[in-house]
Amino acid sequence: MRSKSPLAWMRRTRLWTSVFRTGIPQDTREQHAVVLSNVFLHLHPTRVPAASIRFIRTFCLGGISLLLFCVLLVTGVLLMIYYRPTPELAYTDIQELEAVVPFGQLLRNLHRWSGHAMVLAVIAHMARVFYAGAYRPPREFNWVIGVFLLVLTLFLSFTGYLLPWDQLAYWAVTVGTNMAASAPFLGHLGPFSVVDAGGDARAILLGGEVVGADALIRFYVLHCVVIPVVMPLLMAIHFYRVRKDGGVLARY
Amino acid sequence: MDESESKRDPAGTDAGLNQGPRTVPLARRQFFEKLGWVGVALLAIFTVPSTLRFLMPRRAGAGRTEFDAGLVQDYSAATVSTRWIRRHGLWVVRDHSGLFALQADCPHLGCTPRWEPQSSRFRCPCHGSLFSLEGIALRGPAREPLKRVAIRRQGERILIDPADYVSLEDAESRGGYHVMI
Repeated sequence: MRSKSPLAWMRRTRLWTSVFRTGIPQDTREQHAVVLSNVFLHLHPTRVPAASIRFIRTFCLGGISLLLFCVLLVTGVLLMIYYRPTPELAYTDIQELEAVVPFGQLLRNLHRWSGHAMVLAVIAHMARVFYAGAYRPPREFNWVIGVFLLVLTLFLSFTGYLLPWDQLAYWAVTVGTNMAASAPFLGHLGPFSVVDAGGDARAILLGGEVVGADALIRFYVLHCVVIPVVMPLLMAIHFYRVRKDGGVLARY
Repeated sequence: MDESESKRDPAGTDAGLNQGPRTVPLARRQFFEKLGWVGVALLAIFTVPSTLRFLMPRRAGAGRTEFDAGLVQDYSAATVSTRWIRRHGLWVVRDHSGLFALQADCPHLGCTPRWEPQSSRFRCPCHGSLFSLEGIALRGPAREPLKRVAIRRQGERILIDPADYVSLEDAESRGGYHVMI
């Protein structure tokens, strides 16, 4: 008794079955098969205990961080279309986005506020995990991945801060990169310094010793390419390990 | 292939594809595996240092950085001249015996302080550090004094080199950072 509905017909086509190896799951075993055979879903457990999706367990903080990351990715890519990272153009491009480009102000503010919110969400997520003792074995490796993700989030926030090229951006980055000059080993003012002012962490970040055109393009590349490429990789490991380490409720 | 055989496979690379004697093909395979890693190592040796060098900022050439800052009498009126602050990031200060140049770069975290004539102080807008006319840190997070910039007199003209700056201590022990008038 084959269904005659167009949807059912579509699911029988060769194209459809080549993409989706499993049909509509009819029992638990098939549900597991669907999750396991999908590259995105397989990061998740095939079965989630009802108790672990109680709001109070996680406050959805990791999920909120992921949602904000997705918002930032979409709005960020759209903003890249109007933004040019040179000292002559950066500030006026932002002004133009705010005042002239249709929905530019909305996009820019979505990006800005989501960025601020993501920093808060990620820190709150870390605090939740800490107070729940969820960093303990067997999840200690996932905690370490999480620390890298926190640092990358802060670094995304910091590199994005320079791009509007206004006074706040300029001096915040002057201050921030001068702190990098005091880093141990890699800062020329830091303890155990092994480099001079022309080749330390600040110089590599700024492409010089002051915040200028070289610094703007470096921050742009870090903000729009380097960190957004590295982060989803770590995020995939992070989510996969939640599953592999036994889920939210695991006790060992 | 049974269990005992697989345990004898030292490289663990043999998935039962080789039916004959193992020693020869495995040695060959391990050789190529090692060769591959040598290739990766060589690639790293050649690319990592050059990538780091690529990321290093270009250094300014040994070009002339000294500029003509005008006549000596231009600096007789005010205590602190702010005319070079935008282009060269420094103040020319007049004291009882002559002139010196202060780098407008807060020793705390690098913001540009403001000259406040009412109180005769330099104040940093970022974290509130306060400097005296001599550039000594009076208050706030900054602890070191403002840097001194090389200044010299050529006849009636003042020449300043913004690329040549030292700490107050070094400026006092060496010459070239103060002009008598």
